[in-house]
Amino acid sequence: MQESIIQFGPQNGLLGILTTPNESVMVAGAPIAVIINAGIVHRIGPFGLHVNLARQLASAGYRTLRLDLSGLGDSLPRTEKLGGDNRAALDVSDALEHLTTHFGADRFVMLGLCSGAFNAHHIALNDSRIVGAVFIDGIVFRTMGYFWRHTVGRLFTPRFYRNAIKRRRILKPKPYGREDAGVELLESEFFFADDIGKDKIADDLKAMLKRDVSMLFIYTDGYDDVCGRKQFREMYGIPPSDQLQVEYFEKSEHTFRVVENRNVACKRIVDWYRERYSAASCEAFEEATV
Amino acid sequence: MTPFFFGSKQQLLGMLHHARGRKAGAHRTVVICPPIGHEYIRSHWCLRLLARQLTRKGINVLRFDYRGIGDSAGTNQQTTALDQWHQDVHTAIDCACTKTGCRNVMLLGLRYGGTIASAVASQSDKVSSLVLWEPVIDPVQYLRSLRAIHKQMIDLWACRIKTLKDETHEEILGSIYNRGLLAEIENTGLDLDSIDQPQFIVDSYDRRGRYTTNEMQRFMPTDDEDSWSVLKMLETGWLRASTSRQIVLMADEMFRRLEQFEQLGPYSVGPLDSPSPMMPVSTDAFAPASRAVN
Repeated sequence: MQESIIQFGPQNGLLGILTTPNESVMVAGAPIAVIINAGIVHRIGPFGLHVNLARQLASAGYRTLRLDLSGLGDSLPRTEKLGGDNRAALDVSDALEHLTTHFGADRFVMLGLCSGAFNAHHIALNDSRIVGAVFIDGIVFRTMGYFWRHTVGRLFTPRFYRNAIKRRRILKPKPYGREDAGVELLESEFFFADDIGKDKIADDLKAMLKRDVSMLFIYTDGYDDVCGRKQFREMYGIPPSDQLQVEYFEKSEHTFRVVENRNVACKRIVDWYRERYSAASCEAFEEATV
Repeated sequence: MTPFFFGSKQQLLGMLHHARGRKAGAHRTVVICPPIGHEYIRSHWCLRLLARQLTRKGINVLRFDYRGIGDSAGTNQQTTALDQWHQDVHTAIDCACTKTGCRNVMLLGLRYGGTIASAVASQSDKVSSLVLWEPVIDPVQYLRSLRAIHKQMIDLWACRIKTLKDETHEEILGSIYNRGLLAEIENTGLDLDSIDQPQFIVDSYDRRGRYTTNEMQRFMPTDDEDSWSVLKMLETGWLRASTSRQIVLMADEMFRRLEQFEQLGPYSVGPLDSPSPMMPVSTDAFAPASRAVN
């Protein structure tokens, strides 16, 4: 496989790494995966998740762009006045333009974790070039089922009490510097707009299903507001299907701190990619569009 | 800023920040040695901001990723000996000299990057000076602390889990290390006495007793909290804005003194790509922006 640095956007200030598979395994006509930042972590992803994923996708024959949104990682901030426009959407739009112009791609799959999934949702909804999306620990809402499974369910688990006592002993809050407090503020999820409700997201998902966008939702046990695969249907009333798949990793932390969990998540995504964009289906798509 | 791949088979990723302002010159070049493991991710933004601040003082800065870490080729577990990371720093120094035309560089190392930088400085005549920022003085204690946080993290998991720990490899905080490498890290501490170059050490006031300052060594105490050994801070960005500003001022002052004692010039005029007003621009010097990865 090959990795290339690409620069694009205003004054070529945005930066990404494009991973390209060897010619022998490359799936012609397959969409390029675009992975965007999770929180403020640069393009390698939390614990290198994005690098692992991009290299595993390349081994399976798919191209991937790992991107730094403006102002994050090694990309420069956008300096133009843009009113209320979503800068992440503008950055990704610039990336897609670049990939179309220089690499002849016209179909893309968005991938994002946490805030990356939040941004990916809005981009996938509004850009018709996006034909697939993988949302890892994206937008969720607590449900009654969550209350029973998580809030009540854990009361019957001895490990919950054990961990609560240990946490209190080990992780007791210490006063720490202003700079750390500032970073915590940055890390907090204030980027999730308050006015987004379950119904709006459900409508968005239905619109994407209608547009034939393939989706994979991955949730982890470490993500606070979700508990169990069932929660997806409880939130949006949409049953998982072949086109909209839902996965729940009960042993994983939100950022895949453990290598084995990271590998399991990468494998699930690569398998999904293989299944949705096999050489045969891409060839059929190319023929249909010609 | 110019991103590029360099080194054998282009396996390392580098970011060259070009010097700006009237002091800009090839001889003022810094190579940043980042930390390893999860500390590399935590400090990435801080080091990028530091590099940008240094350029405003007319200093060229090369940031790079060691093999197996960040955007460089390979995986962490493929690194089997400390010497491989030392070699990466030597390669980065050569690359910085080629690209900016300098004769020698200042090495700036954070955490274990400081320990690597000090080992390289004792081997290389291309290092004019050293800045060590919270360096790992006691590697045994360093690894013990990393393992303790890892153990805490696993112990507090919602269910029972195990991470890789066999005869050849060990997983610590999201990275798999070769046992041989860990043994070497454990046995290789910070040996400041073996370094001839001037050193500027930045560390917590509480650890001031661990350094013996002399005319070649200056120590700047900070009141920064030690967040490296706290599980709660494992994924928190590490930013030290005020300390960064102090380091920029001190690096500028060190370059001024090195110039005064003629420790930097005359510098060679090699292939250059910096837009510094003192140097012509040659695009031929750009390393390829792509590489093959196994």
